[in-house]
Amino acid sequence: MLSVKPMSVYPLPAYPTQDQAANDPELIKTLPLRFSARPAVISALAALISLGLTGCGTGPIPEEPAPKLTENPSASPKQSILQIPVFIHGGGRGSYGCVSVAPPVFLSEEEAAQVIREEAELYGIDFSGNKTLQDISLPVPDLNGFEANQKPLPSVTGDLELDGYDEDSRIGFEFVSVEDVREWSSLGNSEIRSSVEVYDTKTTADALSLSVENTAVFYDPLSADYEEFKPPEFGDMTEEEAASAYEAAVKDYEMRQKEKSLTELRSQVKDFFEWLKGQGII
Amino acid sequence: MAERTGHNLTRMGNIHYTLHLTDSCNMACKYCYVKQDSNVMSLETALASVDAAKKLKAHCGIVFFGGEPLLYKDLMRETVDYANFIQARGDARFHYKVTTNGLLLDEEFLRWSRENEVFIAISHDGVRKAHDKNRKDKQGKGTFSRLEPILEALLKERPYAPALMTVDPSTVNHYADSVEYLFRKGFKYIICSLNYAGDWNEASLRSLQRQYKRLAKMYEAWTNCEEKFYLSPFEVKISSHIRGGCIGERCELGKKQVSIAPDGTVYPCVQFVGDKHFAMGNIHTGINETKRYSLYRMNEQEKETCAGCAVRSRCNHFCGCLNRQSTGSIQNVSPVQCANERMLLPIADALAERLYKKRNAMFIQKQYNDMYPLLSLIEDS
Repeated sequence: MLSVKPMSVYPLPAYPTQDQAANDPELIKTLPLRFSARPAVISALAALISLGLTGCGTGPIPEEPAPKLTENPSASPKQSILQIPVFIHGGGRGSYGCVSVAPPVFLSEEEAAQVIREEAELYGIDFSGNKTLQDISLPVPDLNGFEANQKPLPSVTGDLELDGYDEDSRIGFEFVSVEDVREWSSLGNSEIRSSVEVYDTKTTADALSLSVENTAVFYDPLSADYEEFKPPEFGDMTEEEAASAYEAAVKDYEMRQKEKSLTELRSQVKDFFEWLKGQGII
Repeated sequence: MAERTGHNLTRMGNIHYTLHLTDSCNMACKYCYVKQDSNVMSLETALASVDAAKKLKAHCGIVFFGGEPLLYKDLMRETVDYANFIQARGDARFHYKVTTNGLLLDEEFLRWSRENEVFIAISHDGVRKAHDKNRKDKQGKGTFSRLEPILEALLKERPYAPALMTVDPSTVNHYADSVEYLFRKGFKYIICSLNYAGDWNEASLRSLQRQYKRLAKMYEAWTNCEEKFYLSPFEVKISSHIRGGCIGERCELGKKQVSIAPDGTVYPCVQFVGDKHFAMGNIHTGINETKRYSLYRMNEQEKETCAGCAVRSRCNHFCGCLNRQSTGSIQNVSPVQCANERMLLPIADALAERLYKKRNAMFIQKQYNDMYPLLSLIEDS
């Protein structure tokens, strides 16, 4: 028989009330990575803090609120531990094989690295160095369907050789390519094999960014706007001419999608360096 | 519309008007407390409710409820048109909400709801095994399959629509799976209520505790991944410590909302509709403020059984609706509610402690920043 049973004792929870939190003005400046990637959110938060509307402490307003920048007291500013958000430009999702009628155009590691290094140079960063991150959580994406790639992705512990590293700023980058997604997916236990493979570079990049420090994670935008495909007018063409015209149309489509992906990637990189500038790192 | 009396709760702040457009429904959910009937609210009564709300001179919610309110879409449209007309004249400010079982949601209604900013909350119990157990149509057939495409259309048009989930002893084993299903489906606001009138026993409550533990792990994992979501059992309990009690969550029986029955009778809350003992006047002739105040006071009195309880300020024992549903009286605290609070509080607090200890940024913003919803909207836009 159920009955009402008052609790005579209950321990005080070990997290603060809002009044107690008001004594820690820095608390409210702890920003999720997804917020810190959006300048509009940072500006809004700064304004709300200055107006005292956040409900927590109203300490001095930083010119650039520092998103999750954890200082090591014994280290120089350049040795700060940075968690860098993923900057979103491009969907980062595509599939290939079987029923996929609009396969995405993939960027190779080399093509991506070239764009990233070009942009880095403009900000005085030289990503020609090497570094391997050891014992980090590597995401294990699933190639069998987007549904299976819901967060949190499973992970395994492993090493990651970065795609580029700048010795001076001690910041590296990793570009999540379709090859990476394929390779990391094989670290899982999935035994399902399908005639179609899906690639979710963005979700994979999101997961990786949460497990690495001082490392920018970019992803292949995987542009695939099939409506931009312009099939040729075959008219009186011979079969050979028609095949050749079709092949040219496909190449033209692929070229335009690749350009689109490169532009999206460049935007990711630009946003990252602007963010880094905001942190006072460069 | 309020009678002149010494006590006028209307002056105490904003209230919502819940319009029970009909007692009839196109479903026959096993745990439903509404006595189905063919009563339908007249347009005159609906507009009189808007007029009463207008006199508050405050931001007022108009909530469409039932039965199934979508059986009378035209009545809803005409009511909103009228309220919008009043609003356009600057005489009042309204916001609208409809609670529906979803079966009659179609593209046209969804478009209209977006254009008129009518918030839609859908009742759904999660995975098929849980949903079809209790949420059946008149023929006794589960409605899960029929709702699948409707959920997608709803979330496409109204991405912030909340899912209202009822957990019954017969479905408690699917609780965590159901929350996960709704979350994966795209619902970011998941409001869970127990069926307090259900046949809970020690075994089903133990099962509930296991489900809360699983849900806490899911909550932690999603928060670590910086997912944005609202999962009511944990949000309410964590907030009750951070904000110093359940004050913001309390309906305070008749103070913050009143229910208007199809015939215009005014009741203090949705679950009292039809019980004349709790009638507080009629929308056409005026609310009996003395009755309303006495019900409010009666409900506010500290419950003897809870006098020495260390967590009574964080507990929902003062919910008159819930107590009545479970014990038949607004003053007798529900033992199921008590058991639920005793198991949920330590799990919610341990979860919050882990996230705070890690200085999880998502947790901190969500729980300590009053402006988090605004920041979240800015991010989404």
